[in-house]
Order: sequence, then C-alpha cells, then structure tokens
Amino acid sequence: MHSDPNVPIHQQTLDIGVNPGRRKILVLMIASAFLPQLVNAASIVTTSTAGQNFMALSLFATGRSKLDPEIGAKLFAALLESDASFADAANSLAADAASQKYADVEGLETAIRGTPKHATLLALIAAWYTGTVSVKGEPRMITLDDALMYQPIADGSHIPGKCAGATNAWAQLPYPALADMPSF
Amino acid sequence: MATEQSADVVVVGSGVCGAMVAHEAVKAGLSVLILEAGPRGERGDYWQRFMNLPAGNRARSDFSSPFPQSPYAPFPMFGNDDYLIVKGRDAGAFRQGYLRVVGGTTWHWSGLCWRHLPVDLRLKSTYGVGRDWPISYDDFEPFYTKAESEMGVSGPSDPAMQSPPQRSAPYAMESIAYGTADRRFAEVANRGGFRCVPIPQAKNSRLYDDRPGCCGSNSCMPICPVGALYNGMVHVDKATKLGATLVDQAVVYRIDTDARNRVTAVHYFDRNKQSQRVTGRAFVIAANGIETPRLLLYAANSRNPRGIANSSDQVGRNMMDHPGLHMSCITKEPMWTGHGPVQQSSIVDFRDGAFRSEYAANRIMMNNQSMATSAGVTAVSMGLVGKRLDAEIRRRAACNLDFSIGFEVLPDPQNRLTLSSERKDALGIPHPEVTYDVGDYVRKGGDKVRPTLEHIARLLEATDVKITDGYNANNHVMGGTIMGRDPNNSVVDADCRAHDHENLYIAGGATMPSASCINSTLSMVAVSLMMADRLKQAMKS
Repeated sequence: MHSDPNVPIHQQTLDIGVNPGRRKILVLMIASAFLPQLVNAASIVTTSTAGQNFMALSLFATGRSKLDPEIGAKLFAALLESDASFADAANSLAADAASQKYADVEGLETAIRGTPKHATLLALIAAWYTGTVSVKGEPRMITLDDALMYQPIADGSHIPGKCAGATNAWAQLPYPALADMPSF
Repeated sequence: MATEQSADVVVVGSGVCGAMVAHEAVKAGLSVLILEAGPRGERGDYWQRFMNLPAGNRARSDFSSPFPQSPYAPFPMFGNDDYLIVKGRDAGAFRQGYLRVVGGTTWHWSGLCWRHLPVDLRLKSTYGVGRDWPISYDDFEPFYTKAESEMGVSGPSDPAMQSPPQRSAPYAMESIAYGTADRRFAEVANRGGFRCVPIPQAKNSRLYDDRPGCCGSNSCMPICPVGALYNGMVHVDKATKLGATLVDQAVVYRIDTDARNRVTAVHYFDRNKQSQRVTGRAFVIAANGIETPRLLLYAANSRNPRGIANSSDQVGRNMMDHPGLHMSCITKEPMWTGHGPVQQSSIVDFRDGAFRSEYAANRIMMNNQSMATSAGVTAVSMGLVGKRLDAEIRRRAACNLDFSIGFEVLPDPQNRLTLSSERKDALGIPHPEVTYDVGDYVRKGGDKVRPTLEHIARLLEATDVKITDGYNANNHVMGGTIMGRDPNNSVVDADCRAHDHENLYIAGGATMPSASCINSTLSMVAVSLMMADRLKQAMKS
C-alpha cells in the first residue's frame, strides 16, 4: 500500500508483493496521520497571534460559542498550506470582526462582497463546516465528527457510516420540524 | 486437495457468484481453487478509508475510493473514467462501477434482492420482444429460495407486499423497519393508489448466520460497518474454511483447450507479474459482467479465434444494465432520509403489463440515502453564511428527495463489449470497451413515466421537481455471455455450460437473457447456484 499520508486516501493503490504484516503497520501509520498529536496539538492557535486571530474569527464566522482548538489548529495549518496569503487576510477579517461594526457574519459577508477577503471568509467557513480543505488542488479531510455541517441536523440525521442504534431503533422516530433548529 | 496449480474445479473470480459456486463445489467433496484478480482487504480498513474520505467525495457518492486496487487489476474509480471505455448514443448509461477485490462488488452494493417475475423469463413468447430463458420460473424458483437463504434476505411475509408472490418458502427474515422517509413515502404512495412495497434485501433484521442485525449506519454503499449487509466474503470464507484454496492478485489471461475443445488449463499473472499455469477438470468463469466477456475475448486461441466459448459471436454482445432516470424534488413536509438502510421502498405497479410489447417496464424507488453530507457541501458552495447557512443545510437534509427509476433494456447484439484498440492495462491486456444504446423501447418507457413521476411529486406536495434527461448506469451488468438453447445465438446452455466447451461454465449476470427492471444480484446468485448444481451432477458422472 502506498503509505505516504500526504497522498489522499482515495488515490492510494496497493503495492504488489506487500505482506499482510507490513500492510497492517502501514494502515496504522496512515490512520495515525489523522490522530491528534499527544503534545501541544492546539498550540499553533493558542500561542501565536495569527492563530488566536484565526480562532476568534472562526467563532464569529461560524456563530458558534466554542470551537475545538485542536481541530482549529489542523484547519489553520491546512488553510495556510493552501493559500500563502491566508494568514494576512484572516488577520484583517479578525480585525473586522472585532471592530463591532458588524452584528454578525451575515453583515460582514455583505460588506466585503467583491473584495479578495470575501473568498477568504468563505474558505474559512467551508473548512469548519465540511471538515475538508483543498490543499494544492487535493481535498484533505481534517475532521468528520466535528464538521459543523452536521450540527444543524443532529436531531433528524446522523453521520453516515456510524451506527445509529439497535436494529429497527428508527422505526418510530419523529419528524423534527424545520423551525426547531437544535442548539449548538 | 486443491493446490495453487491444480484442482477439480477452478473458479475465476471471488465475487458473490464465484464464491457461491466454490462453496457448493467444496461442500460436495470436490477440490476447489479460486483465482481472484484483485487484492484482499479487511472490513475495518475499508470502513476507515470511507470515514477518512474528503467531504466532496462523500457528498457525491464515491463508492470506489475506499477499496485499494491492484495495479494489475484496475477497475472504474470515482472521478476517473480511464478504465472502462464507453461509446455510443447512450455511452453514459453504461459507465459502470464495480470492484476487483476478494469478495467482489458486494462489498459496496445496495443489497436489494428482487426476484424476476415469472413472466420476465418469457418475455419473447408473452410480449414478442427480447428473449425467453431456456428454463421456466418453476424450474428456477428453488434456486431463488436457496439464494435467499444463503445470503440472508429479509422481506415481507404478507403476499400482498411481495413482488412476485410466487414463492415456495417465506423470506429468511422479516423486513427491516422503515425509517421516517420511507414510512411517509409508502403512506402517501399507497393512499394515492400506487402499490409501494418493502424491497427484499440481503440485510439482517436480526442475528442471522452469525452476523448482526442492521445498525442503521446508512452506509450500505460503500461499506457496512458491522456485516449486517451480506457480501461475497461470507462465502469466500465458508469455502476456504472447508478447504478451497484462494489465490489473490491472480489475473487470468489465457485459457488452453485440447483437440476436443475441452479446457485443460488457465494461465494467470501473479502479483509479481510472473505467469502461472493452473490445470483442472472443470472451469468456472465468474469474473463479473464486464470482466467475464473481456477475458473470453482476450483468451482467443488458434482453435477459438473469435474468443473462448464464442463460436456464436455472442460473447460481449447483448450487454444490459438497468438504464436509469432520477427525479429530485423538495418536499413540503420534512422526510429526513437516512434512517435505516439506504433503499427500502419501491413502487412496483409498472413491473408488468400489456404495454411491455411496446415499451419498457420500470420500478420507481425512493432513495433513502442520507442527504446529510450533500446538504452541507451544497449549502456551503452556495456562499451562504451564518443562520441562513444552517437553515439551508437543515432544509436540504430534511426535505430533499431523490427517486431512482430503473427500466428494462432489451438484449441487443449491437450493445457490445469489445477489446479496446486504443488502451491496454499494465499487463498489456486491452481495456474493455462498450458501445451502448438503450433503444427506443426504453426511451418510450422514459417518456411514459414522466407524468407518473410528476404525479408522485404532487402527492408529496413537492416543489423544484427535476427529472433527468439522459440515462444513467445502475451497475447491474448482464447479458455478455447469454443463456439459450441455440448454440448459434447464445454462449451457454440452460446449465450455464458453454456450448463450445463441455467443461467450461459461466456464473453470474452475464448469462441472464432478460434484465427485468429490478436489481440483478439475486438472479445472478440463483443462476450461479443452479450452475453449481449442474456442475456437481456432471462431475459425479
């Protein structure tokens, strides 16, 4: 198996002649690339000014009251890797958000339409919501469980691939109304 | 005792059909060697790869990326159309997905296990179109029952809910309960005068055959996390536990025949690209609807210059699938797809009728695949932010609905698989190339169904109704080595034995003379079990 964790999973092919024992080790190496490091996993966003700006901007842009700094660190690193100008644009957006000129992200987004910062704002929101960042043209999955897009539907849906419960546990489920947005 | 060089029965392909045949043969005391072109994998690895897919792949139903392929046994991959070449008026309708791995494509299938109707085996004599099978439904029915038992098919016990009701034994298990979306669709459709039934499927509604009941992951495609969904590995493991030998990464490319045109050996390239020779008393090709005719054509030899088993020139012809349309809409009331298995209910009113002398039968299935990921990815791509973004995700996940409509295509010798003159794989074997036209029979059926679909959308008080124009593939490949009595226009006889070679058999969808409009796997498995039964009798004598 091609073991480079920087090669997207969906492009990995099987090397011929790999013995099963080595393959298991390679699988663990690939899987571990997505596990948080044990030490200072979030430090890039908690100790650097740019990182702190990124997290503050992320809270404003997503409307969430809290966000996981370890996920933030990985998203931030991927966004930096995808766009060399990201840090500067994010710093500027963070200043906009902190200026209290905009009541919410909708106000900010409307105000900056047509400017280069608009794409940066949408890229940041896309990263948090989908848990995926496009890096040099290749999509990189950063998180599935913490992708924010699953939060507004958590009362009526679940993340496919995860078991929902015992067999037929879904037989009497209700139909949550659109207006009853869950809190998150 | 099979070795890696010789066995009583040599089976090419370890998907559900090859695995079933191998299991039947080894149970009967025959030595069995299975040659699989692709690599082995583990459920946990496949599941982890699926869970690590980028959001865009998950949203667009990437079912192939979790399965690593051998560089010597390529298969169609998500976003890469390089391998299977498709041409013709409806090329897109044959853009198939399948796997070449130990256990085959049933690692990532929908699990639906419809039977043909009895009349589906008599299409020509009843409606004057297509072909008749050389066997009757009554002859075939015991093998449907056996296939359902072997795979563990859950289905409705009420005959009013069965399509068809002609069966000699109950389903192995009762149907899995509907989730919210199927519950509402079935209520609305049945109240509206349609006949909407639970689809029988190879998914456990309780512990069965040491496999757990469905846990509602809604990821049948591409991978069931717990094995409640049957897949070919079940019978690969059963066969090898009883003594069958399996060699993976073994790509068969040559078939030797003697002066009586009996098959004496097959040759394969191993994982190191070295050629190995395997002898046997009987040979079974179960390599999938594309790879079986591809192999037979490529293995042409001096005695069989048009291809193995191809004196009729029918190998690779009559390629069939179920050309599909889709209807998408947004319902007024939330449906919340994604609870339970991915596909559970279907309207069956149009599986049969006098109209079949003029246009194609169809089935209309509500797609219960979760909209969770596509809702999020789409809403984000619309440039929405804040509360509007969250509201749009919720609306799409709850109210977006997709219907899959499958049609019956007729066997047409011009719908043909050949060996590409343009591209070869890493072993130097030409890529498969299919030329396909769904035909006026299907197009007329497509025109006729549109008012019905719009009516269904009105019953659901749905808006934004969109029906696709072009036909899509449904990955149910049939017909390329068609069954029949006449050796001049068929490849195998009623025992699925090649007319040209008395010890060569073919297992799988490639033998089926009619497609019906419903998923083909149960019929393929039943055909393979019938073939195995005939093979065992022949080996005894």
